[in-house]
Amino acid sequence: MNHFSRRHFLKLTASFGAGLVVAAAGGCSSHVVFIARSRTPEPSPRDEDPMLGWVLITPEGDVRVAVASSEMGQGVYSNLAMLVAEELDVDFARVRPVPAPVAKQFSNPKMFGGQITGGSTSTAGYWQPMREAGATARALLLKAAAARWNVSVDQLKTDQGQVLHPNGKRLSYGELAQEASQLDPPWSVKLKSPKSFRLIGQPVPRSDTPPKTRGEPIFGVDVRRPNMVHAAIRHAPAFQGQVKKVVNQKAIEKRPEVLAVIVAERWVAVVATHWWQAQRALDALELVFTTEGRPAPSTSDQRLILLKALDDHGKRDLKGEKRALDLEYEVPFLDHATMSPMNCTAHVTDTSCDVWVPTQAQTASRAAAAEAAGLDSDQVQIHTTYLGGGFGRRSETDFVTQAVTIAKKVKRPVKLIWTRSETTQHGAYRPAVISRFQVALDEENRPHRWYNQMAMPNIFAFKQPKIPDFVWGMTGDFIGLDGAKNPPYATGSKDVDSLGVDLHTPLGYWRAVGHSHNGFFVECVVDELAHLAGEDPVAFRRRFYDDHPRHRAVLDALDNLAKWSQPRPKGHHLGVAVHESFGSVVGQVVELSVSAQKVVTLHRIWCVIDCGFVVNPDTVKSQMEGGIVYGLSAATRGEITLKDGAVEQSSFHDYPIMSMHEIPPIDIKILTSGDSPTGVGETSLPPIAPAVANALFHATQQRIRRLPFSRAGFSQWRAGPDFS
Amino acid sequence: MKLKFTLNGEATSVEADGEMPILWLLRDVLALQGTKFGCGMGQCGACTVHLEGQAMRSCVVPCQVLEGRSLTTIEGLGSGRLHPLQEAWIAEEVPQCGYCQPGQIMAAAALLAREPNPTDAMISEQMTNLCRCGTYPRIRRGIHRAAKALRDEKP
Repeated sequence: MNHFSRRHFLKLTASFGAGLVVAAAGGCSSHVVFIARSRTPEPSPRDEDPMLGWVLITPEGDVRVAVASSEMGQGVYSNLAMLVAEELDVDFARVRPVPAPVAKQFSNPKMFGGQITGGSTSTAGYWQPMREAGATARALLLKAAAARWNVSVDQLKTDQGQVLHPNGKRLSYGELAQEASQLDPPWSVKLKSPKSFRLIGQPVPRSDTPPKTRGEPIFGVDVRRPNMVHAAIRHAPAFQGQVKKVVNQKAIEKRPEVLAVIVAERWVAVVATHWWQAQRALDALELVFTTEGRPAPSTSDQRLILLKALDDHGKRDLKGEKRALDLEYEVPFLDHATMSPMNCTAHVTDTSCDVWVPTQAQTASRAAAAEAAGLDSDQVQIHTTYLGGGFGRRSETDFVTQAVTIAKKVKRPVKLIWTRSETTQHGAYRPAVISRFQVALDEENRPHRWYNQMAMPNIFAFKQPKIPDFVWGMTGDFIGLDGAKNPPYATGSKDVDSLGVDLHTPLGYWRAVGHSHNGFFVECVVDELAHLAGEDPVAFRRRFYDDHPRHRAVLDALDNLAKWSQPRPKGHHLGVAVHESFGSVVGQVVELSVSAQKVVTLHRIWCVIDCGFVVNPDTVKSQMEGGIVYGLSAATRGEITLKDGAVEQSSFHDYPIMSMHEIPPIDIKILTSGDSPTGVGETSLPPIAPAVANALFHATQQRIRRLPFSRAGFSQWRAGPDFS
Repeated sequence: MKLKFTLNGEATSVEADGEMPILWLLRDVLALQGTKFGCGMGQCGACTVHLEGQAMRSCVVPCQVLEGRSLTTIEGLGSGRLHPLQEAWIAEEVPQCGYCQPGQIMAAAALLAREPNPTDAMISEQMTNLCRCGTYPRIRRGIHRAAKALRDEKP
């Protein structure tokens, strides 16, 4: 079923088995229209059949829920299925999440432009439509039972997959699904009151956990298709580089295991029977690349360009200020370093293109595949696999274009897998940023002047080169400014702005995006201000949270959880940071000690989050832990550098990440507020770098204003001995 | 070359280029895909398997060394039921993306076979597999839980 249109959708009859399908057309929660699909009594639907509705109930009573967000570790398959199961009133063990195909009705209401997993919006975005889908399916089942028993609907109840008659009779959802699918859905449904939730708010075990302990889930690299062959790829090392010459192409093509050598402008791929053979043949190719006439920057030049942009812009005059900061903070380019290298599997025919891909961006992947295949987008089917890490890297479509291009040439299903070094060196990097702060305290130690000018390449401008420059002059780099624009501490005159600088380096969305650096900048600057004012860092922050009740609640909870004011063992020091991102507020305290040899021991980390209404507290905790560890990797050692336009790092030895011995116990407390969920997946990352930097200052009197910490000689980290 | 070895307890015979790393023999020739490709340089441990009971990073070991030996992968770890580590991983909800977890479990199983009651220091020192999702605190708890379950099992 490669074709989809609304008309087609409405008229569609059974193509995948018996049962009730509830579909939400539209995708915007305020305009949801539900339709029941009629089904012929065929065998149960097959796994590979695309779900076009949100909910499918089989005659056996099993429930499938279409999940439009990608499962990249955040537990979204289970959490979104929970929303449906809650309203449908069904045993969660009978519910199976199924990746949704690309279709308008699955667009994320909180992400413009289609199906995309990003911006920590999955639970927040699908919170309303998926509960409505569950409630609609339940309403139809009740109606079907009422008709069967000839009673009114309000005499009936449901209980865990069954409809109950007042006299004790029961009908299972499976028995009713066929009849329910013939009925007209209600125009609106009443959702449960949170007080009666049975699943939402509970630490419900994830359905993907048991198979993940057995190595069973199909990640992108695990896709197998009949007649499939394997491709390995090498890019021109420099970003602006091109393939100039392939010296021994004919000789390599003659190898019996090699099916094709494909030369594109910026890369060369070898297709072979097995991936290892393809990679070995690729290694044997003599390739000549060139960057002639195009920019090939190095990191040292790029720094000068950023600094020059700030100097050209000029400084504010802080004359007359008694206590002021006038300084720069700085972060480098970063790679996502997903555990699974980039990969994609494609099969292209004259009229169809199937793509099996670990992607965060189904809609964009479909467009990229259609363009590469020379087909219409409705001839393209995107099959989302499990993602071996995403963090923003898999919202790109470079690997989709490549796999489809190769598959079109060889006319067979092809699985393309990049090596680790290709993955490290041809990423979509978190921008390098230099951020200048000129901040002055008034008589009452309030920052009455807050000037923050940032020089950085603009991610969105890089992605949308057609947007003219004057637009950016008006709006600023609003993504890069995320988290810097409105700090709670700027109580007087304020000017926060960006200078867009093209550094000729590919850019991408990296976990927490603008917040990833602005959390570090702002929360370190505030700590410097507290020091300047001679105040306690927690008490100083609290003074500015009167109009920020969620910040205040998080800080107070953190104060209690970490026992901030209690004496610590000799040599132990604390650092604190609080940052709002993606609609949530997260605060962290770090306790560390530093040896004379600059070995840093992390003793414990405390973390408090207010993420609105909590769907699954255990997955929230997992994400807090994950974001802290991810942020620590970046803060302590993460740095992508360029030489002659190419990335110098290649794998985990020169782009290292945290390992077991470095991670201390992490204590987490979740606060709730409001009646709908806010972001989780990215929100614990921004505070960790400043919390550590602030603790390092208290331990060493050294202010580290440039990440990573390894640059300042703090290159050895370990966890404290007490894990209880 | 013709390779004969024991794979997850069963006699196996396969035709393969002896230089092909064990990882790719498993994944592309034998269709056992629980063992993952992470770096191809023996750095991350996503490809960890047991050769003669010892944890080994299969991406850098040519498959010819398998001749006459015994190899265990995540698919063969439990021998008919889940290994206590897999049960502990479920109880602690360890995995996030899950990509590194087969390797983590294989590394942890080798650790528990050597040391039934590992201290935190031993876990820190010997669990060197990388996890980009940051599941380390839960892996640590999972190992302790499985170690206790294994000790309790014994009379």
